[in-house]
Amino acid sequence: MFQRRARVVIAVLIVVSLTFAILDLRGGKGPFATFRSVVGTALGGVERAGATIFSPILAIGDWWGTWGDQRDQINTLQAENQALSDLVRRSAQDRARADALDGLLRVAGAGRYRITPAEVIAVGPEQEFSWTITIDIGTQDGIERDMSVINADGLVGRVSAVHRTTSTVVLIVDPSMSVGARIAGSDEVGILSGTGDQNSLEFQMLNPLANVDIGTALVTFGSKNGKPYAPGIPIGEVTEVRGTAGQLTRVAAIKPFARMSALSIVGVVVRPPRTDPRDSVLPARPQEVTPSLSATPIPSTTGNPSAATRGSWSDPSPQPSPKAS
Amino acid sequence: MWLRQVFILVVIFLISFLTQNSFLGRLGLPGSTPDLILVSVIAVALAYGSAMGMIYGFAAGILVDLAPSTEGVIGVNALLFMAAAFFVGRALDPRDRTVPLLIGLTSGTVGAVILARGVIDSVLGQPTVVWANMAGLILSGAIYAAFLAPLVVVPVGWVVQKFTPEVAV
Repeated sequence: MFQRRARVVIAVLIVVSLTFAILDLRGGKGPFATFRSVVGTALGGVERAGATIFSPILAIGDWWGTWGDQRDQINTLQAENQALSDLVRRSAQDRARADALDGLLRVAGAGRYRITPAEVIAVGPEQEFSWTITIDIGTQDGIERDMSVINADGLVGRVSAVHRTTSTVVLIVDPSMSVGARIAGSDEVGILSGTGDQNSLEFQMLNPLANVDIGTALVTFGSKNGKPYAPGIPIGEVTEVRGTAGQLTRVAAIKPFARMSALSIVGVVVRPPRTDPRDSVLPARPQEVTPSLSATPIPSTTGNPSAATRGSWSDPSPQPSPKAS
Repeated sequence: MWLRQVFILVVIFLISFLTQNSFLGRLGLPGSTPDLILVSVIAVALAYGSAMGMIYGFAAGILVDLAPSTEGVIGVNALLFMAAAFFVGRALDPRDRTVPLLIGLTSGTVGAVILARGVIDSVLGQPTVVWANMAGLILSGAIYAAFLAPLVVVPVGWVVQKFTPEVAV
């Protein structure tokens, strides 16, 4: 079947194979240790080269295999990222709200006002020449017309109309507004009127001879039964005095403490204090130093910053009643 | 001519060995590893005839036995490859070779070699043979060989016809 030569060669090869197998089966290092290490080194090098060549191809296989997993992972991570950034955004907003409520609590505590916190939900259009905002509480929260509205910095305005769940507030900068005000530290009173300029109010002093210093603060004089204005609410500070002493009317320009363009959390004074808090609500300010327009923050011990739920808050420490003592 | 033939065989072996150990073995396919070297032995036997196929099978088997990552008895693969080459070289008349026939022949031979290797290893007392897996190994090996056959047998036949037509079957 084969040529003679081929037959011989094949027979030799078979014998060699069998010999190898038998020698190898005898165990020990045998004659193959060196042989094996030489061939192993050579073919090991070939295998290493092959690994280098085929690694990218195998990597493609891995890529296909893990593609679905990675897509799932990307989706999961994106959702997680979304949730976390929402959380960050919300927590910054919550912190700002908590600060505002904190300040409101401080004012309410210092002046013994019972307030109901509210959020500004709309601002009246400026082109109607009236300065109004809408807040998210109304008759069902016990709000009535002509209640004072304050925020952490001072007087904001008064309630002009009440609906079931919302109320309209006229800001003190509205030109139709006039507030009875008293200069802190003295008994000089006057009428404060809005000018339509959110940074400037007009204060007409009843006593033309009164001495007014720039930087002096104004508080509300208070109305009968606390309506429309509860007494002692900080309003603003004198920035300019026009007219000389003795003139028939003297006018001072007042810059309000509350920033009318940045109202978010306000409080409606649902019950004024029994006694006029006088100047105690005014934030302590260093008079010796250059007067700064921003109120010095007072470390609040009364507020619970996480108490973001709405409800009526009375002053945290019970006020000793004059009749009780 | 003689040198050219040796060169072709060396190249065929290197490519098969490289692809099998570095690529097919690492694919992690279920069952047995596709036995590309055995398929190349079959292809050579078909292209050059039984005698040359047996010589190539001996060389390839010895090298596979000596290569790293095989721990079998030296010579067993050489004998098996020689047997495969002998059988394949004589089984088919060169005139009625069609691709489906080649595929069937290759996968059948590979399955038989896997079975024979298990038998020989058991007879020689190698403890590594797990007979419970044998059916799956034979089946998967035959299937992989069926896929490899047209990819290997046809190009090897073409190369042999092209470069060494005088010794081709």
